[in-house]
Amino acid sequence: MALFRRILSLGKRAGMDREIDAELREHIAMCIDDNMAQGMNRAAAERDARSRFGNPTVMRERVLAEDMALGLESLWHDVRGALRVFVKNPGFAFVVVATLALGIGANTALFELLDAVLLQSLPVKNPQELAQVRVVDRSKARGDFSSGYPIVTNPIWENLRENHPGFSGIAAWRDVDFSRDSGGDARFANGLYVSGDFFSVLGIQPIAGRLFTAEDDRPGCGLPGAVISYGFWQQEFGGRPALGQKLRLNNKSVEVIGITPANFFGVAVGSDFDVAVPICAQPYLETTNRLQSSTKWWLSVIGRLDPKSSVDQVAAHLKTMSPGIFASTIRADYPPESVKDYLAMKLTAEPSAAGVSMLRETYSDSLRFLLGIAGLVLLITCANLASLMLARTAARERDMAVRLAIGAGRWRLIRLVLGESLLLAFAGALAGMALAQVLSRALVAYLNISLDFKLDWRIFAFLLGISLLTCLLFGLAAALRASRTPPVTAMKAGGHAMTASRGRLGFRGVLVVSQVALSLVLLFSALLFTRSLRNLMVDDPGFQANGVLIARLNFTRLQIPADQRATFQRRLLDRIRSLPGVDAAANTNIVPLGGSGWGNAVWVAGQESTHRQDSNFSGVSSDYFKTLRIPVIAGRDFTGREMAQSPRDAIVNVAFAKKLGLGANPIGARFWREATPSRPAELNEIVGLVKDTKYRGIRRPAEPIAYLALAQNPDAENTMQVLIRSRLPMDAQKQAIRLALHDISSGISFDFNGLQDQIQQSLLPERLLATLSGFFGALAVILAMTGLYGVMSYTVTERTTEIGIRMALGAQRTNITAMILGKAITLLTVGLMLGAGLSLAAASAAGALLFGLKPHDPATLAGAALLLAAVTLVASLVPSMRAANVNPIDSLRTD
Amino acid sequence: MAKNDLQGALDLLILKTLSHLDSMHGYGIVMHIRRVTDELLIVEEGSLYPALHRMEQNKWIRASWAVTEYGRKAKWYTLTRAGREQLASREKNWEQVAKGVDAILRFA
Repeated sequence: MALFRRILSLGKRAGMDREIDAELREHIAMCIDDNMAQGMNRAAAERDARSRFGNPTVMRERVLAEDMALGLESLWHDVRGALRVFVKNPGFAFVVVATLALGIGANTALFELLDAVLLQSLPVKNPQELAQVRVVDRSKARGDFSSGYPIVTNPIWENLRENHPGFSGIAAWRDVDFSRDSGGDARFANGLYVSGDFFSVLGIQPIAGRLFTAEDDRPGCGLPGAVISYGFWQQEFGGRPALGQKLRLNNKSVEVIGITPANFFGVAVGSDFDVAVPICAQPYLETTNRLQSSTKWWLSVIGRLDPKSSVDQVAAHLKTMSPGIFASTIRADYPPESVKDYLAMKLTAEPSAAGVSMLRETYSDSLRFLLGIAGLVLLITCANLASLMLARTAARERDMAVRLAIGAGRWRLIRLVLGESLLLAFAGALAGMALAQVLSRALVAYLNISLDFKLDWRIFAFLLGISLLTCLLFGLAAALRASRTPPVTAMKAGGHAMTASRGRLGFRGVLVVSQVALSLVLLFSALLFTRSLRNLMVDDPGFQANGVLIARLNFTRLQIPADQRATFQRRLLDRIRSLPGVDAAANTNIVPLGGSGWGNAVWVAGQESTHRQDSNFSGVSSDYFKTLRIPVIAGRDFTGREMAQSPRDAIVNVAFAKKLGLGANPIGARFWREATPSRPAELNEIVGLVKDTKYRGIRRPAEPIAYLALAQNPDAENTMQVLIRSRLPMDAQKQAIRLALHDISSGISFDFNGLQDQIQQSLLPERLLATLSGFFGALAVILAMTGLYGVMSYTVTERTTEIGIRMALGAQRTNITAMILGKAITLLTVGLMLGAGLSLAAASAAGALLFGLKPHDPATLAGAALLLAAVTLVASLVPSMRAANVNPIDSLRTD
Repeated sequence: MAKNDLQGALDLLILKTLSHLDSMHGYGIVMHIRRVTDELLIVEEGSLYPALHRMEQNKWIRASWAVTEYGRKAKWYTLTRAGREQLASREKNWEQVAKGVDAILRFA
């Protein structure tokens, strides 16, 4: 209530001033009356009254001070005062606000990203009721896994659709690229295959037209219509009426029947959908039918729990239902050797309110670690600002002392300083918020993901929280420190205290030491991540990616019969090989380190199939090893003239030979490859041995790979991936290929990517960690530098008198420099030791994020410490030199 | 401690004065204390008005503008119920402090 009253009285200061003035005036008048009544003349009476009374303005201030002991108004008054101080002294204010903005901005941007990736719920009705269904352990499953999301086959999905206890509704979806063009450079739309109930289960209402129902999703539906997203509507139709308009997807025409709301991006966080079509349209849009296969794992299942069920209950249900589901969904195409594993698989459910997220798996560890780092930067910022404020307050100590002496309360002074820091924190928070918007958008652009950032209350609370925390941390420390000095000491000591200096450096020393320690932690982790990234980038994958171009071709539109596709592919490849500048080119169905894989079980011919081992496979044409410069150790390359004879030719790598126990020279050895949906078990004969290369990801060690000849593959696709090693610059080579393909047919669509670029792209999480931690590390070092510089300059100013006396008594300049520098070195050493301990503790948390080095790498730690020591010593050298230039006469005269 | 006690003493003097005089303005309070203590205690205006203001904020006294017997406008202060309670407790406290100080002084 009192606070409320004070807020109300904010504007009444003038009135109160008047009232107090009147009261005091009357008092003096009465005093004069009395004096005159006792026989004084008027002038004498007035003089006496005034001398007894003192300065009326001071008096009024003191009366007001009593009244305002807790007043908001005087706080505002202080803030206004602070504003005036800062306008007069812009350098200080600028440094503080910029430091704060960086600290707060970086934190907020990372928090926003983390929030969008990890915390935010799907923009759908009651997202907390959503759960996704997944196979507990997919590693025993066989077939094509064409997604990183939890997936099942269409038969399993259809089974779940009919029978889903605990769910009030259940839906399936799959993200896919639809080609938007008929030929030439490829353009894609982010597509979604969705089950008929998808939108109704999520509770999405169309903003125009209608969404799919179960009626739309019937076997053999063709292409009943397309639902487009708000973003796609804006981009493609400019927001004009789109219902009934035609789109071309994978060269098929489809009519737009509905538009989803602006905030709906699908269920996969970080990706955005453009066009959704029913699952039943898959066979119509693609060449292979995935609907009847139990080896095509491609659909993600998400369901809405009914009000009576929990996720755990549903998971338990699914577990008991699993044997029945898997028994009834297995098809003849499933490899017979693996049927037992298939039947033993289990389904489970897990909460999915935040949607499914590849980003989460890819980035959550890095982002959490980065948020920790950003938090440390904020702490350093606080310590730095506390130093700055202290230095300022110290410079104004005399002013403070005078205020204390004329009766200002301690609280009043604390508030004065707090008013300043509040103002700074506010300005810093605003600047930080602006910076955060820029930073988070830059981050999203850098990661090339699509995220919906909202400045929601959580981020706002976070921002407000950290600003207030910063304000309190750096303001209060300074304020308490300032008000603790007894006025007499401060007055006596003036600006150049000798006695108080040690105690003062104590607290500032603590700030510097913690700053140095935290900076070391940051610098250390920055170096760790940078070295880790470097290790990944220079890591030898076993092949040379530089100078290799990947051309992805799609000639579906040419409608080439399956038995002639292999010939057509060879023609395209020969054409590319004949282009000027091309050293070698090869066709493959698996681009190494591209993220996709092909695994089958193998066993040595003559052994039982129970001895089977898992191996990776890759279908390649001749010249594959030449193109990637993979050394052939023994035997030969494919000739390109392989026929469909048996046994088929295979080239294996060293890891494969080792895993199957084939010895150093496996040429001529034979192995079985398990049956696949399209082919029975096949016997292969090893005709070549090549060096190990990495297959799926650069972080994984080299794995066994068997290369099979694409020429022997009876089901050639309508697509091909050609690896081209070229002497020409990439762009020139692309242009040449473009023209050559156009020559053959304008119906071929294609896109290009550099193999090296693609590998780099796969290192994005590591790059993010290295870049951002490097940025924060640099920031921390700069802060530590300014912090130490500030403290040392202040110490020198403070000890000018002492230094003067020492010099007058015969101390040499070098002694003085050494004395000041010694102090800096002490602080630095303590900080570095403390920081080393902290670093080692923090590093173990980073262990899993590192590649090719131990988290406790002593060389890195030593490097970080040396670097930090060097820059901070430079920073403290300047004030030390200045100390040596103190003129003893001047310094003694100052007071 | 010393500061609080001195401040407490001033509060006590003002409260007691007001309880004697029912209602009085600042100048009157100063004069009353002077007269009664035979000029032993002279309350300075510099301390009086902040104290009065503080006591008013604490609702121990109430103020209103009125005209003095000599025709001057002045702010008159009156004790409130809270003020009387405050006075009682402070009087008791003071007696104890005085007794204690006295005992120390008389210790032989």
